[in-house]
Amino acid sequence: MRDCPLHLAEAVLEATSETLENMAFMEAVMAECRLDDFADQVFCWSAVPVLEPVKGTVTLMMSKSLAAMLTSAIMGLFDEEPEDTIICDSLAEVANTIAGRFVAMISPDDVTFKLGVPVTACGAIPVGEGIYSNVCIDIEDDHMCVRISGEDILSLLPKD
Amino acid sequence: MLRKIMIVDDSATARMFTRRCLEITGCNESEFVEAVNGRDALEKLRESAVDLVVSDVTMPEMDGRELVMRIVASPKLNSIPVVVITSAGNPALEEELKSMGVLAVIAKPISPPLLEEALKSLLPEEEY
Repeated sequence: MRDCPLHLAEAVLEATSETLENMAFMEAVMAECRLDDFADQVFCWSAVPVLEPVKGTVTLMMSKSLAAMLTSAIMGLFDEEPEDTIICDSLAEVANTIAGRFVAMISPDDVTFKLGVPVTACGAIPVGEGIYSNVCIDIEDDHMCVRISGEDILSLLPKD
Repeated sequence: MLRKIMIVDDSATARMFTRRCLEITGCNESEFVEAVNGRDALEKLRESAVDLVVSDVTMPEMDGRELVMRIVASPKLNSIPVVVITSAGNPALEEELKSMGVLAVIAKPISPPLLEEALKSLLPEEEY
């Protein structure tokens, strides 16, 4: 993993903020935390492949309790705990939206980009492979992480 | 008034979220029909008419682009306004959809103001 450049973190935060504010009326702010801090929690994650114009992956990771809270906010479920299938479906939709906004932000306006089908699961934090950067974000007194993986997609960002 | 609106998306979350946005936009008295992909949508459209279709692009079996093509090609369906929602950025596809007569192409995340703008021509002024 390389150090997360500020402009990457800013783009991820902006994409995440827009998505969460629109979908769940939740505010997202940059966090100081590290992903290792929540290694003992049950995590839910959704990985969205970026297929065009470059290859890479945008992975959204958060505790299962936060994923359930997010799902309830999006679906308007106030008196019931969402089922695991609904939590995974919501997480995939949120991850897909964040990935789309992020890639749109770092791509020229006239460039076509294409996302693949999200892969979603609950369990241990997925192990990062190759080159990636984690951006930690606070929402509702909890933390989530957006991981941008792949040399090609990271190379779209301006060099320091 | 949009009495019956069809929402087409393979994600239950996206369907629910789109419905909530439409309700805020002034469609709170509309009846909603849901379909999980283009094929499902066409089957349901053959059963009963709707006043608006709001469809995602990327879906299994039949995607939003093919759904629009089939709606446009059908004399029975081609008067139905269609709004397309997409998470990918594809200027060429947007142009193609608009040239086929799609009312609007909206990038995710959708919001009531974005839908309001897209549906301006379909809603009476007092509804938004």
